[in-house]
Amino acid sequence: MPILKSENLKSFYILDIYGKKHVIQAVNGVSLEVEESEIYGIAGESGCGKSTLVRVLYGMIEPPLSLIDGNVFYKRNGEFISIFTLPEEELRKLRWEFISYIPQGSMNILNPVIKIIDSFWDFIGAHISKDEKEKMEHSLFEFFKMLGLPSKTLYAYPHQLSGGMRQRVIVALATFLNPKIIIADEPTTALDVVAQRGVIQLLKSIQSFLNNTIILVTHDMGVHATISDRIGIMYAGNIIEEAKTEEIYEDPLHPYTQYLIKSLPKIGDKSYKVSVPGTPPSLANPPSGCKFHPRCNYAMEECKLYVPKFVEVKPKHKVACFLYSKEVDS
Amino acid sequence: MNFVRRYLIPRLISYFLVIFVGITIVFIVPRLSPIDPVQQMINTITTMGTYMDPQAIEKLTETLKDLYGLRGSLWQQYLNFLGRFIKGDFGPSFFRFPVPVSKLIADSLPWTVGLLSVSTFLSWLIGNILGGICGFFYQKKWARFLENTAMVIRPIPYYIFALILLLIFGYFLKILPIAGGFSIGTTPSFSLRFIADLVKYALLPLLSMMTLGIAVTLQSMRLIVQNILREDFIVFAKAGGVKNRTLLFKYVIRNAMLPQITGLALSMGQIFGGALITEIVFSYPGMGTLLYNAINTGDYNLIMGITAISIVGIATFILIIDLLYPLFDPRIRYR
Ligand SMILES: Nc1ncnc2c1ncn2[C@@H]1O[C@H](COP(=O)(O)OP(=O)(O)OP(=O)(O)O)[C@@H](O)[C@H]1O
Ligand code: SF4
Ligand SMILES: [Mg+2]
Repeated sequence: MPILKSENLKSFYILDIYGKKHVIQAVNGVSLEVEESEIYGIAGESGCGKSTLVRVLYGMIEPPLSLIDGNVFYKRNGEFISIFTLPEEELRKLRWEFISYIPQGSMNILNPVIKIIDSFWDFIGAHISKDEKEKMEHSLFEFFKMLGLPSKTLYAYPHQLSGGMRQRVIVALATFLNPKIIIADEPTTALDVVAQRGVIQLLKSIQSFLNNTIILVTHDMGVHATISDRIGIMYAGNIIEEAKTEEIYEDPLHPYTQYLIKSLPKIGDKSYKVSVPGTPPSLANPPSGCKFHPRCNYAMEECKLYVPKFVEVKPKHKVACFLYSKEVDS
Repeated sequence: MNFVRRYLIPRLISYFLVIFVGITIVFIVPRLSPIDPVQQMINTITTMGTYMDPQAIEKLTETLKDLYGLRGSLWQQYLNFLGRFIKGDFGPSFFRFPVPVSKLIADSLPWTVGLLSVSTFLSWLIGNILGGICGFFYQKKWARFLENTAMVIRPIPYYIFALILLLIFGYFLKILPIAGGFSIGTTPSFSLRFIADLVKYALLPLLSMMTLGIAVTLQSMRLIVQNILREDFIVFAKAGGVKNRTLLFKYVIRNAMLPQITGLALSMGQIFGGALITEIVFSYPGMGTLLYNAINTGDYNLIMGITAISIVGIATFILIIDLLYPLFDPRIRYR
């Protein structure tokens, strides 16, 4: 049962540079379904549009980003609602209670001049009544205890906490109201390995405890291997392959995914990591046909002309590549 | 304790150092000038046609040297100068001989400081709040309007405002006085009447200076806010549905204020030099007028006195703001 889905989602940055219009096709026709209580991973190289995609899924579309086409639905009380038709205030209320979002760049994500606890109440207080707030004061400390976070961190300023601790506090902040869906954009990228593990474990334990759905963005395939249930591989604004995690690692179909998997270091393997050859495509002026064709070893004539359709070629395994299906996307 | 050692003491040291260096420069600069003030004075007197015999000139030279603090070796002069500076003694003024410079400054300073500290602080505060709101609601029409107004006002010299305000309120409407610091015939006192009188006289100069001050602060604040809005913590707070009011004041303005606080210290320090043109337009008895007269008449002692006071003023304000700054920014408070 999906809890969040998007249909042919298109969202572009429209920039006006010295009177010349530039369009960056950051999200270009993404259709996905995220199941209830799963951890859905989104992977792909830098600049492929991961952050933009989740921002649109969260409904945060502000200039220069604009919605071009498509729709995003959340399932609330058994019914799908389109978030773009919701009034601003309704959407604000959904946030944190139904869906929360941890943006990328989490090192400076908290107001530097107020204490952590003040940030908590600014966020939480915006979604609950005054009476509820009084009751919750106690449960906040309980919650911190449960997550294994020292409660004195609540009285610290952001700069007094280590990066890993800050990130865990942010995860706590995003999950305190027990939202159905949590979107986390690169929550571990800025951290060292040990702190990374702490954050991943925290996310995982919250998820198994509260049974939320998590959409996890990271370009780190190692992190996906440890936590994601399903993975969508993104390339130049599109999801080009999607399957269960084991399936992606054992049988990657798309040539791009194969590179990503091969680039994973293995224990005992001293050889250099294989990286994807060529340069990432420009989203302002993407290649024709299959956007991967300039970098693809298997590229055929049709790859330059037509866009391969995103189809299920194995059970629960979708891919957009002419090697597996000749269906053309219209 | 750590705070005292790592924050307070270094700042106190630099405070005294800045004043010391500044005062030393005040001592050196006039001595580098090719003009000999003593000779100049004597020339002025003789060209006015007064005949003086050599002996009288000799005597006059000695007296003048005394008054200018020019007696003895350079080193002795310097020590003397420092000693007198600490006592607040800058010698007699020449254009109002023999009134001591310190008395002239003491008479003008309250006017200037009163007028300018109020106008500087208020325009800083109002400008920041308006600029914060403008930057935050940059997509709204009225914000754009406010911003454009500031842009139009900004290049207009403030004495133009002074003149316009003077014409409107002083000549045509005749509701506000056009010149002076208080009504002729009243004696300064702490009565409510006198204070009301003061405010009445200060209103036009205040308005004329604040209009520009607000416009300038508004523009710089709006720029800072625009950058703050792109910060991750604002994006996150918006994502978390934090209420707009909280977002504006606690997240945007509070952070954008931090760089502005330093700016306040600088402009507060500058008020000791007075606001020459405003003071002239409104015949306000402040430091600007005093400095103007001092320069016009080549009154070295007075110029040096005013410069010294300005140096102490700027340094003191910077020290005060430096000491208050940790209250606003916890990153400095706890290190
Ligand atoms: N505010 C913006 N204005 C204009 N272009 C933008 C903006 N934000 C992102 N882009 C562009 O949109 C494209 C997608 O960016 P996005 O941040 O979504 O990528 P990403 O996959 O999250 O990359 P990373 O792994 O580096 O975080 C990039 O080409 C980027 O340059
Ligand atoms: S469609 Fe063609 S170019 Fe694209 S990945 Fe498949 S083989 Fe390569
Ligand atoms: Mg990103």
